[in-house]
Formats: sequence, C-alpha cells, structure tokens
Amino acid sequence: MTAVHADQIIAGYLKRLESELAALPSERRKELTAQIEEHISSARAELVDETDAELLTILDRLGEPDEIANEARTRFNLPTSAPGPLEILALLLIGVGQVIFPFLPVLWLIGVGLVWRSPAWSAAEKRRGAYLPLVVAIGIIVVAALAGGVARGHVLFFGLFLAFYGTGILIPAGAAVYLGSRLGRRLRPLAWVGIALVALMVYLPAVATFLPGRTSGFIGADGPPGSVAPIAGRPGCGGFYGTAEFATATPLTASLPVSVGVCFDGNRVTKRWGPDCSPESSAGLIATVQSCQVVSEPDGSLMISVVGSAAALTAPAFRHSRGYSWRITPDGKIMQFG
Amino acid sequence: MVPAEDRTGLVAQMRRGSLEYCVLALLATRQRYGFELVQNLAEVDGMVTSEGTIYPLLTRLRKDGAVETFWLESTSGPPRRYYRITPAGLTALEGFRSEWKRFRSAVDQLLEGGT
Repeated sequence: MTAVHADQIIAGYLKRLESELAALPSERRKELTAQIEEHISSARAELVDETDAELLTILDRLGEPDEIANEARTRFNLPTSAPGPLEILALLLIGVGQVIFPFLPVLWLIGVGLVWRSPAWSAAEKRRGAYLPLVVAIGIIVVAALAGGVARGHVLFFGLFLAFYGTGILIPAGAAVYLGSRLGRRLRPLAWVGIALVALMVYLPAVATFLPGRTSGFIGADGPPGSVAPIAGRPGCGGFYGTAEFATATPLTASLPVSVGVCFDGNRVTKRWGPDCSPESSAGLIATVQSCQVVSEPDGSLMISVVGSAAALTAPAFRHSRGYSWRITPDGKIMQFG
Repeated sequence: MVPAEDRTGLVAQMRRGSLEYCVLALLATRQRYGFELVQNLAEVDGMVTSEGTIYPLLTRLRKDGAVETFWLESTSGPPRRYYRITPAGLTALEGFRSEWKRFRSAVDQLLEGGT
C-alpha cells in the first residue's frame, strides 16, 4: 500500500470522527481528535511493514467514530438519546414558525416547549438554543415596539422596524441552526433532507419577494384576429400590453399584466378602454394589485401606472410593493419606469 | 430471570463504572502515553471492546483533575502526550479500592456459599 493511500484512510477516519464529535465543546473535540490521531501514529510506528490489512486493524480496534462519539457524550454528560419526530417538529417550529406566522411568537413558543420536553438536548444546550434566544428576541421586540411608538414618522422608525422583523426571524432561525447542529449525526440523513426541504419551501418564496423584477410593454393589434397594430404617428387604434414581474426568471415568479386600449389621433394618445389589471400568482408568490390607472398628460402622451405587491405564500409578513409605469408618447414610443 | 442480552448490558455497565479506576490504577504505577495505556488495558481480557472509547474517559479524567498530561520526546517518532495521576486522582483511586474490596467480598460471599 502506498503512504498516500494510508494517509487518506486515516484522514477519512479522523474527519468522520470530528463530525461525529460536533456536539462537544470545541476544545474537548480538538483534544479527543488529537489523542486518537496520536494513537494511530504510535500504532503505525510499531508496525514493521505496514499493510492495508494492518492499518485497517488499527482502526477496527479503535472502533467506529460514532461509538467513540457516543462514549464521549456519555462521559461529558451530554444526552445520547436519539432524536425523533418531536425534535424534528421542534426544529421546524423554531426555524420557520416565525416566517409562517410572524404576528405572535406562538409557533416559536410551542417549539421551545417541545425542546424543553425533549431528552435529546442537554440543559446547557436548551438554555443557549431555546430559552435565551426567546427571551432576548422578546426583549428586543418589546423595546422596539415601545420606542417605535415614540419614533413614529422619524427616520429612526425604519431602523426599529428592521430590528423588530430582523430579530423576530433571524434569532429563531439562528437558534434552530444551533439546536440542529447539536443533534448532528444523531438525526438520520433522511430527516435532515426533509427539514432542509421544508425550510427551503418556506424561505425561498420569502426571499423571492425581494428578487429583482422586470417590466415589458408593447403596442399591438386590438381587435379580431388579423387586425394590425397602429403605426406610430398615424391615426389608428390598438392595445397596449404591459407586464410587471416579481422574482423574474425563477419558478416563483408572479406578474401584474396590464392592458389598455389606445388610439393615436395624430397629435395625442387617448384611451379607448381599460385599464385592465389582473394579477397572476404563482405556486410561491401571491400577486395583488393596489392601483391600476391611466392618466393623460398635457403633452399628449398617456401614462399607465400599476402598483402591486407580491407576498410569499408561506411567509405572509414578506410582502414587497412595487410601482411600475409606462409612458406612451404621441409618436408611439414607450418609456418604462420602475 | 434476567435475559442474556440484559446480562451483556450489565457487564457493560460494570465495566463502564470501573474502567476509570483501572486507568487510574495503571497510571498510579507509572506515567504512560495514550497508546501504551490503551494497549495495557486491552491486554486484560474483557476490559476494553473499542480502544478508542478510552480517550473520552482520559479527557474527562483530565478535566476533573484526576490526571494531568505532559509531553515527552520519544526515541521513535514525534513527542508523546503522557498521562500522570494527580494527588486528587490517587485519593479517588484509594477510595474506590477499599469500596471495591468490600463490595467484591460481599458479592463473593453470597455467590459462593450463601449464608
């Protein structure tokens, strides 16, 4: 066997050990991994002619990394019980509860209650990952709410608003990550996949509301099939078709289509019908229209404006409003704003 | 009657409870480095199943102040981490020794003759 191969086997073993020991304080984890590493090198030094089989025997006699990690948890009075559905539910309630229902920390509280009942976390882990974050966040929210009343209308208000939502969502998400990391390998990979999927399904639409949007618009035929679009600068009628999108180019995209019948009479643009605004929601985002109007400008152009918002289906607090407008000039040019 | 697998668990429990004192006893005779200590324990039949599980125990003993570590140059290879028993460790070992003797003779007496 080559020395490189042997080193790879040992490095792989140590790496597995280190990740199994994730629940231990980092100082203890480093000490333990170093001791095992020294053990292996001492054992190798005693081999006359190192073979694959002999190296594997050394590791075999050491035991599986999870066996050593379990022993370490026991020796350091950390819980060894295997987490189950209760712990998974607790992680989800704490991790995504505030996004799904952001008004009162009800789901979060239930999650903390489950952690309190669970034997899978140690008392210190429960303090750090469940009780302390809840107390800190509630404290910040109360202070921000009180101060917000004083600061209303002030620029400070916006900062407090961010603190309010930031702590209400970031703190529990961080707490859930911490609690999850303490479970580590004790939770089966399939459970981790499930948790990750749920988290993605909840957080992705929330993020999508902030993703860039896009607008487009064109003047086309308006009438029976075969009718032609008006030619710019000449009298004639057609339809303006505009679309404002949220979260462009993602599967979560939602859009606000607007259509207006427009006529050119030579020196100005006039409205014939509309505007029609009918929001198109997607699987993740709900689009709503707040206003949809057409205004004639003194210079003869037509201003079409739509204000709408997209809200994440899984995260009602994540609602993002945007305004879009199009200006059609008498010579048939379209300018977009927003 | 206790099923066989529960008796295996019982042996594991007894081993777990006494292992730290076996480690202390080995270190009371002289200082040893990790691999050496593990080998000495493994030579005694039935004391250690997975050698790696000794190290969490050593870490724990060091944290509790029953043993201390120091580095010594080795004639072959890199320096070695040696373990040495502390006065607190010796006191704990003496306490266990006398408890164990009393317990062992009590059990032996009942098992071997009854009264």
